[in-house]
Amino acid sequence: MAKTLSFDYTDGNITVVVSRGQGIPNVVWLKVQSEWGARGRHPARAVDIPVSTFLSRLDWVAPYCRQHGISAEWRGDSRKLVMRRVAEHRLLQEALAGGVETEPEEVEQALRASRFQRELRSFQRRDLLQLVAIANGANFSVPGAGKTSVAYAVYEYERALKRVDRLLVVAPISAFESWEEEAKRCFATVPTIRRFDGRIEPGTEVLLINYQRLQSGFAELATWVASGRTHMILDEAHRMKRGWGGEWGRNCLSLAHFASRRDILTGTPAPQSVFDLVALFDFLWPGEARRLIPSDGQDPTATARVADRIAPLFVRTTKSELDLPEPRVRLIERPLDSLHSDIYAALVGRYRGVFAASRRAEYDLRALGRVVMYLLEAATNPALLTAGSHRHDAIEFRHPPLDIPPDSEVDELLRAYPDYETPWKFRLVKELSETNARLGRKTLIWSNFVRNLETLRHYELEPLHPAIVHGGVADRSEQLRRFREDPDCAVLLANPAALGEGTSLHEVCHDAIYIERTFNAGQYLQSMDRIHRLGLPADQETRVTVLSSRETIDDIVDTRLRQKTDRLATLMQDPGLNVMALPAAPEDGLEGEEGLDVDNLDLAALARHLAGE
Amino acid sequence: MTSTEEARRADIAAKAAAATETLSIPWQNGRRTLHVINVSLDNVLLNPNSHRIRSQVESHVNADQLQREPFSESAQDFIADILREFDGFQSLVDSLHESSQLEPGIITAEGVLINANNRAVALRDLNEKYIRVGVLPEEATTQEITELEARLQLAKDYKQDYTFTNELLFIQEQIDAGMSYEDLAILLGKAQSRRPAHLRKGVADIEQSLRILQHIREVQEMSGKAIKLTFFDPHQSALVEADSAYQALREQDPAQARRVRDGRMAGVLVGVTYRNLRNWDSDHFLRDYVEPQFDHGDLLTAIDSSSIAGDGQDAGDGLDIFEETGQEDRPVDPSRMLAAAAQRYGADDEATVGGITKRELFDGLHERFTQAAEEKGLDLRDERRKLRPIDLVVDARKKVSRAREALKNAQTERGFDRGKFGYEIRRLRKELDSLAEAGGLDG
Repeated sequence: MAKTLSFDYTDGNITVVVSRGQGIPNVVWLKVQSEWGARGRHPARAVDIPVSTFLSRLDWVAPYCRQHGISAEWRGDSRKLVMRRVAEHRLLQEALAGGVETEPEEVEQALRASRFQRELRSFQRRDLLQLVAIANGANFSVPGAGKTSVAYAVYEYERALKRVDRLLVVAPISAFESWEEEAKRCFATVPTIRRFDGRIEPGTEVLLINYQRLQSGFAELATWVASGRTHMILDEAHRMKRGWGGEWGRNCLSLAHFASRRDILTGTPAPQSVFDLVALFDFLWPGEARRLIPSDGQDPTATARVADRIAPLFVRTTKSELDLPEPRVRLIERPLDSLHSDIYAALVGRYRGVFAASRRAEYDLRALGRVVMYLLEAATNPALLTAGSHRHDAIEFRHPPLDIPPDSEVDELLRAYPDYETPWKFRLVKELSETNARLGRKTLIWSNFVRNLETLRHYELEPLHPAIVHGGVADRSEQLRRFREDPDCAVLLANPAALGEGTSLHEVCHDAIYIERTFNAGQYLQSMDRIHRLGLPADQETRVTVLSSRETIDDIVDTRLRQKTDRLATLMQDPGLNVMALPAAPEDGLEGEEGLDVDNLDLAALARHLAGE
Repeated sequence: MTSTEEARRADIAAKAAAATETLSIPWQNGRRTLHVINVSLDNVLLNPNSHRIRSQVESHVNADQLQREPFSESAQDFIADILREFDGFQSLVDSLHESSQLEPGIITAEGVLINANNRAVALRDLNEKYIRVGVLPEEATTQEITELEARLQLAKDYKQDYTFTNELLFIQEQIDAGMSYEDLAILLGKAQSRRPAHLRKGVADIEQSLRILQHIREVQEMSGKAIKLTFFDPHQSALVEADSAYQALREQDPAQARRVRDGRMAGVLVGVTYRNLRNWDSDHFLRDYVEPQFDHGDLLTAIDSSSIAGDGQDAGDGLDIFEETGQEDRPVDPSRMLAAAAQRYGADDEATVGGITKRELFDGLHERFTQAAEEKGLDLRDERRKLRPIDLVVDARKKVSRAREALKNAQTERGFDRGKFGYEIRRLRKELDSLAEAGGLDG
């Protein structure tokens, strides 16, 4: 008697039903349940499997069934579904081999005949050509390179070829406006664009939704995506980098299978390590990511190998291609003043023990993140230690004041401090900003700690009529307007979390000073992008100054940031990568992303610093 | 229904009708009141489907009979024997000897004990005549009874009573009955709460249990049912770890994941210790430590000739849509190793299959595996040995740093023995010099 497993699927459904035919032995059915799950009304007879789970665990079926003499019966659209998955695997191989031969003329012609009307720049046309040659694409171009326009071009081209008929864009809310505005410039006849609000109106051609809403709107979305030929685009795709381990990642990955074409856009795909790419590529090529990108992300040779392997799968217009002059980055390193230095030393003494205890074990990132915070504060402005975080500090920066035993050495030093010294960085910032102001230049000043910003605003920089932007500033647009337009306003004080990817200051400001930085490479690169982006005249110099306290955590941060940006450069095979930008979302809040973004290597380096090495 | 069965039911029904005492039990979504009676121990039947003993019943030498005629006298005796094997049975007997039965048990209308099975056996051993039980209604369905039994078991400290394999069976049973993974995880305490992070972990545990049970069943089949379910009870940690290793690898390299899992299971079958099993965490171990052990000989031949299910069998229909993926050929195939051990498991020690006796195969595998593990251990120790003197020197330097800090405070104290301090510093210097010299360093 034939032992048969039956597979049932209808296009538009989000589950596949696998049924146990007569003669299927217990051990085989248990295998089905243990591979795909045993959910359903009668799991002893049939199981309901989410499409994405089903498709990502297909590799065991053929060898196992052959071994046990099991037959497969494909009902409804199930055969098509599996064949598409098998076909996608082949499409990936094809993409890796360079993709389909496409004539530039053909693409131009097809676009001209469509609704697309925007004149694309040369680098955009080049990216477009490569993207349409492969089945799914990634665009890692720097912000300001016009990825949105290219994305619309890809969509319209695929649509002209009747491969897709609708578009789903998942993006941060702050980007919605940009997608809507760009559409008006890109299309002669603008397609119907709607923002998702629970129900999807018929006639919607382009649907915008943000990452958080994927969860509550999932069923609605999945049905919409599955019932047409949907092009799905993830904007700022690094936000789903947690993959199956995060809510946003899960939802994106679950929708992936229903889309006819997938694209991802991000300016910083992998600021921490190669491992950050896995979820992104799992979205683009479901089930294939782990074979493309090994799990050993820390191995230095792995980075280069991965870079080679995935090169055919993405496009990247670099900063240098935008023909922007390189920014001039200088590090000013000074020792701490004496009392300040004693405070820092006392703190180091205290924390040395904490790190030693964690040695060789997995660092508890959360607990030690707090220590990182205190050391950053101590290296810049000891007054921060006693105050704790400001209520307007970004969420990941919230922390209580340092726990100081009364009458201890540290306590005395901290109490004496304000009477005796001002942090050297504050003095220098004042000096540099005043010099700039005299030269008619405006200065953008970065600090992660709102207290620093507020102190500078009210004291050292007060004569320069500073504008200020952080989480607690209500009249943000007014502050930005003043900085841009008011000649007396010479300084903008900002924290990286608050000044997001939508803001351009490059027209009025070409000087930035970092009072302190964290281990977060992405945030650092993105902040630089505020004043260094497409639109700068070729002869405009951009000047970046980083202040670093000698022999403190600032040294470690500097070393680690260089390493991280270097790694990213190798990955993207372009030295120009060093000054790419990556948003760490302000109001949207990056899923699980710590503002400090500390990893194990950071902590290992820090541990050595504390040990006095 | 036989006359004994009829008589039993009638007796129980009559007693129930005349009963004065009642017992309240959880029932479906609420509670139910049962009549409590004193019934003759001759008139109650031990429950062959109790979740506590399913694995033992299945693995019993007379499993067939237990399945066909569970209420026959001999089958009932077998069940009583199984129950007597439980830890704590003797103390139960002792305590029942001291004081009479406190809590009533529960029986079906047909007289089958839903709980209190070991109490019944204990009382019989003590030559008692009666047992106090509440009686379930006649209309109670099998599903309801099963649920009640499960609930009663879990209400107690079930961890004590459920063996590893009994829990696996329980999980499978509940999943097949349609219970959600989440509910089951909560029920079994594998999820601390309904918070998403806890639930995810609990569900992962349940999924793991199903995978482990499935692998066990495959192995049992390979052995022609010679390997009993209870065989796996002492190996819970080993199997859980093997599955975790499998999970860690399967996304990236499913074939390697299978090799690791099958290799470890082969080790379990031939008695490799738990500690040594853990060494097989990737193909590195296979390549660098295991394969070199098998470069020739009967053992390798025996393994190579072991067939994995379906070698060369006709493929089933409908599989054509899957692409053929090449099989990686390794000099030693852990899946065949496992098959070799499993297939011979039930044979006599001296039985020769494939040119080698069972004992030779088992001993051979055991030895090589253990040897491989030990060699890996030695290599790791060598690594550590190289680091030890450096670690110690680093520690010493840190201590000196701390001494400097401590000195700041101590110096100002009255009674600080400066002389002694100087003396110890000089001794330290001397040690340091000898150490540097011994390490072949200048200064």
